[in-house]
Amino acid sequence: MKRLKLFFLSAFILIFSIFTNKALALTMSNNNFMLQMGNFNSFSGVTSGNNKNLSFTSGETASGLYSSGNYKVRAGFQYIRSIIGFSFSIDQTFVDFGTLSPGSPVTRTNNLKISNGSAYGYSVTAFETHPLQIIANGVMIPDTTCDNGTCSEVIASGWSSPLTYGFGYRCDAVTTPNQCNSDFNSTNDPSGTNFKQFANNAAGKTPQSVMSGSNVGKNMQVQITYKVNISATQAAGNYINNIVYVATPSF
Amino acid sequence: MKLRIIPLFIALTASLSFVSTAHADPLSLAISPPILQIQALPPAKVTTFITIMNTSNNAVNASVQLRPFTQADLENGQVKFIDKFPGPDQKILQKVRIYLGNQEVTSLDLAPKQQKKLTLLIDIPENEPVSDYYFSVIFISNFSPTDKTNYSQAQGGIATNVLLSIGKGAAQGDISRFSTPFYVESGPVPFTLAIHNSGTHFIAPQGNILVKNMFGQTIGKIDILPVNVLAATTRLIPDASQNSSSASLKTLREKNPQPFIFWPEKFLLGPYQATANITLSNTGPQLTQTTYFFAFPIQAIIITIIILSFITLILIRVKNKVVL
Repeated sequence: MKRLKLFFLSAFILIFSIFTNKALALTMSNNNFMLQMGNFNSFSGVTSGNNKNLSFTSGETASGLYSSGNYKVRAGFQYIRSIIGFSFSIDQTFVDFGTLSPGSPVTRTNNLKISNGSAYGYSVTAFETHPLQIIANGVMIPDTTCDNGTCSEVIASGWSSPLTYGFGYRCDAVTTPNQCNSDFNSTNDPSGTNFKQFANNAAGKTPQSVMSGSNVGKNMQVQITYKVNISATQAAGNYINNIVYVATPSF
Repeated sequence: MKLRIIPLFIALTASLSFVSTAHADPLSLAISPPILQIQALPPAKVTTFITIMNTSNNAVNASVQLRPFTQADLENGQVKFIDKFPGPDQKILQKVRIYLGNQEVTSLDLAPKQQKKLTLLIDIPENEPVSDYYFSVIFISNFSPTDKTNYSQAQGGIATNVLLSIGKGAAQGDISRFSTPFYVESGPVPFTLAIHNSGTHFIAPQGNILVKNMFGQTIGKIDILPVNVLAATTRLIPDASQNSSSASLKTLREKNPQPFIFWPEKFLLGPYQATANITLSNTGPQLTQTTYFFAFPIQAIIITIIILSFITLILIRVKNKVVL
């Protein structure tokens, strides 16, 4: 009988331990308020209760509220306190394709990096001033339409044939996942061969998002791969353009 | 000798720990603040500040541009640049000026690690009609042409957003979407909450979602983040735990980049009622909407049944052996 009791107790403990959740957060509440902290050691959190809200974060920059005369200005977000700020960097601004040979695609890469501590979200939009072009006479290497002829600045498609010509790009997340446009994620691009055109500013195309996120984070990095391939009939010359990336925090 | 080396080692380690990380990137810019929310009654001369910093080891010459924007199609607060404002004053940007000291600037030089504090001045005349205008102040690096062969030159830009609200107007809007999956096996439970702003000015709704169990007890409260909803737009609202250190919530947010409100409670059983209580502004209006969901931990139940069956079987066998 003793053994049976012991057995039942062990089984109960086993079932309880399987289905009991780990307390990842410290939560205290009563009928009037609930305090929810990130963890036992956190120095920030949100409290609320009885229609009173207080947010606090350890140290750092306070968002300012200024008023004067007929206006009020709030600088920054009241609900974010962070020393990370908002910064954007490019590790290589000069993307050198070197000498191009017909039917031999050339790829080059650079990395974009965002630190976003002051807004819950950001996007990096990009456009090209014009397609790769000989400035002197305007001869262009057209933007690629990919292997099936469908890709544009908004539509991505596979580009792996050496007989498909043009200029395009793709994006791959380096650190945090899902930072690149969804055209390049593992669901929409399982083989990792999708490319797109840069939005052509000279043709009035709208800049497109290449990288975005909806959370705070530091040093979130993506890699941009530039690809160019020319046909045997492409005129000789120096083909150049500018790719402009603009990092904007969410509002 | 050993005693002399130890303090030297400590001093060296301490000095290295205070060496700041050098940015090896050719282009690196930072900006503060990320947003300026301005409410003005005409006439008004609005003065505020933007700090731009070159965090790289290279000098930068950057042009200053102003571009109107609206919300991107994802309804998540990301920006989409447009060619012209929907508002009545198409020349509003002519009333916006950027100064460095007393000098109006359209470009500026930043030495390595240098930061500059600029003044944003918006001169709103008395007859300015009531409306909102949203634009970004963008700093874009200029480039120096080279004589290299076949290249693309990457230029980097960084922006701060300005939400300019001119004149008075009451907050107007509604909860356009409030939903959750009808059946969940366990938490965290995701809620989709979208607020439509039908007024003439941007708003920052506040509120929460209250969750009640089948006994009518309030067992959960999730505060929403008071994000900005632009005039004549709809925005998905996230919850206030965006910077929570919970690993499971972080994973969920990475898997679901669109804004969700997560109720983190894990063990759930039975029917639940969730009510969104939203206030569009300090003076109202207040909105409520309710949704329902049902939770049944089917996997846990199946595992429990299997374990209990196993225990029962052992009991029966033990009893039979005892009887024999």
